Amino acid sequence: MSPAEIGLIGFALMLILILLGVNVAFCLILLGFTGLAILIGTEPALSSIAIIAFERSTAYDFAVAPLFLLMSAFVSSSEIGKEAYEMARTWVGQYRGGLAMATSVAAGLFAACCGSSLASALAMGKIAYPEMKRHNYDSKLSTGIIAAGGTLGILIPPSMGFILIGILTQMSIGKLFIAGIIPGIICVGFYIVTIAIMCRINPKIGPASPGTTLKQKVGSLRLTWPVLLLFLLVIGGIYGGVFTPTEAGGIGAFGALVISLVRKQLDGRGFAECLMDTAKMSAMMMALIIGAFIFNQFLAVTRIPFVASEWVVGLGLNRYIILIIIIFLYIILGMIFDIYAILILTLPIIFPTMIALGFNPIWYAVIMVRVIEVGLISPPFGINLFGLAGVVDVPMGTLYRSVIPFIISDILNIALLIALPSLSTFLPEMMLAR
Amino acid sequence: MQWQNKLIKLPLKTESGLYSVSKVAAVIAAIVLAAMMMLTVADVTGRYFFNSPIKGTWELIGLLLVGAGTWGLGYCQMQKAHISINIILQRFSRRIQALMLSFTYLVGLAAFSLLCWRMFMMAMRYSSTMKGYVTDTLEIPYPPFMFALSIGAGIISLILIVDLIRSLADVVRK
Repeated sequence: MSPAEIGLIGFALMLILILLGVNVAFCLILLGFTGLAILIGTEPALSSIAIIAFERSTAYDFAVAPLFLLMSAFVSSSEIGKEAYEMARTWVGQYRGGLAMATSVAAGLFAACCGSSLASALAMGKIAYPEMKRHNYDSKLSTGIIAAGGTLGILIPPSMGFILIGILTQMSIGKLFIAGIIPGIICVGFYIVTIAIMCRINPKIGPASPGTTLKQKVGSLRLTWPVLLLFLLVIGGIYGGVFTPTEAGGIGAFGALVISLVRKQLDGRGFAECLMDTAKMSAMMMALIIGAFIFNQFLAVTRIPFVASEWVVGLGLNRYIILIIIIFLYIILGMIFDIYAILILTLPIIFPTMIALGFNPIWYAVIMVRVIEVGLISPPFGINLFGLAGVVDVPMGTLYRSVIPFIISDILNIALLIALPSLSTFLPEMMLAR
Repeated sequence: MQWQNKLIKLPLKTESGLYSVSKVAAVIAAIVLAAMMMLTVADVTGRYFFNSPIKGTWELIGLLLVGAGTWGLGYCQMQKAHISINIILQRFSRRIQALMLSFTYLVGLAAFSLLCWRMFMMAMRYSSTMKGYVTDTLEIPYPPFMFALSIGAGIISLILIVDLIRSLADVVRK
């Protein structure tokens, strides 16, 4: 058997095992090792897994993951999401569908401190859903925007998705973070327009709340400004090259901790729980990262990434046709797999191909994250929908129907991001630092 | 009679003992994590406000990451927080699910016991033959951190053995 054949068998076996429910990280390590053992011999394979594991678990750049996970944990256990929602509600609550619009704004603000889409969706589900229900919002509108708003979590920095992409492709995590800002804001805008259109078609689904005075509006900023300041400090610091993403993670976590402690939203027990939870999540990420690098080493020996990209380029198709095929592939994968698993499995093969086709890597990373997130809220398997179903009391069928307008909005949004790459690349190219 | 009683209780005792060990390791990982946070904050404030950064912070953060990232592995397995996809698995009978779970644990056990063993070998080799294998700035020796990684992988291996036995018992149980 040629190395490429062994590689393809390894890859197929990997997909089958994961689909059968075998743990992703376990598969990556064992199959990567077995493949290496076949190709380069058992003894060299054993040595290289130890070297890879040690190199990756002592890499300064990877410390960014646990530190931002810690920040997300502090933010999730404090009242920061609730305050962001209260503020957004005072500003736009008096319009038709205003509470839903407020949800999308609050989801955006929450995402600015939290790096996971499911955590963002769950937080908004607990905070915004009861309020919208109390104000007679139709669940077709309220649950849809909560599920869709959650996807901002991984687009607006900090983002665990961009961290993983940066680690796996050696791209600058700082630049990837910055690249997510404008698409994130555009996404909030698209959701607001979608809600406005939905409420125009059927005004009953989102009745307007009583108006608020300017004084109340300004007053509502009082609670939210520390969070905005923290975001500006963390992201501004990365943008200006004042500190590395890892340092930004440490400062972000510390800042979120101080904000929650000063407001007495976090006690000693809550603090310990956040730390334990992050230790658990960090171990999960670390196992995935070590596994991904072992498996990638195996794929690199088989030369599959190189062969695949050469084959695709050799097809001579228009590169946008290939992009559209890959987007459909990602949406389907997003319906079945978890975002981390998708990134780890597809990046080593698809990423070099996209670069060989002449696409901008940062722009492509933004499109990819956006597309996978659409998969995560797509019926029938979207993982975020299942997570959300545990928090809101509506049947799965309603959830499925409720996300459809937002998926349409997302598709238009992705088309815009593809048509205007500078929306994603303008800010990172302006960055002072690496 | 007494020794028989003890023999019956032995697996349970071992299991709870392993769980405590793994929990303690996770607590250490959590403390290390907090230390990493404080270290970056101290380094950045030192650098910009007092013009005195902490020497070798980059190296320390990298080395601490071994603890923060791998000593929680066992705890993560205890809480079943590792990512797996179970949309297909859910459709099968309880027995088949238990069988697949046993297979998962076996794969994990093989993966992490290999890592644990080879890391230990690597650490032994470096600590005996290459005394000069240290970090660039602070000259901290690497081998202790190799042992730490080996311990982290060892703890999850032990937890996986417990899980494997439990799930196999589930397969056999009527």
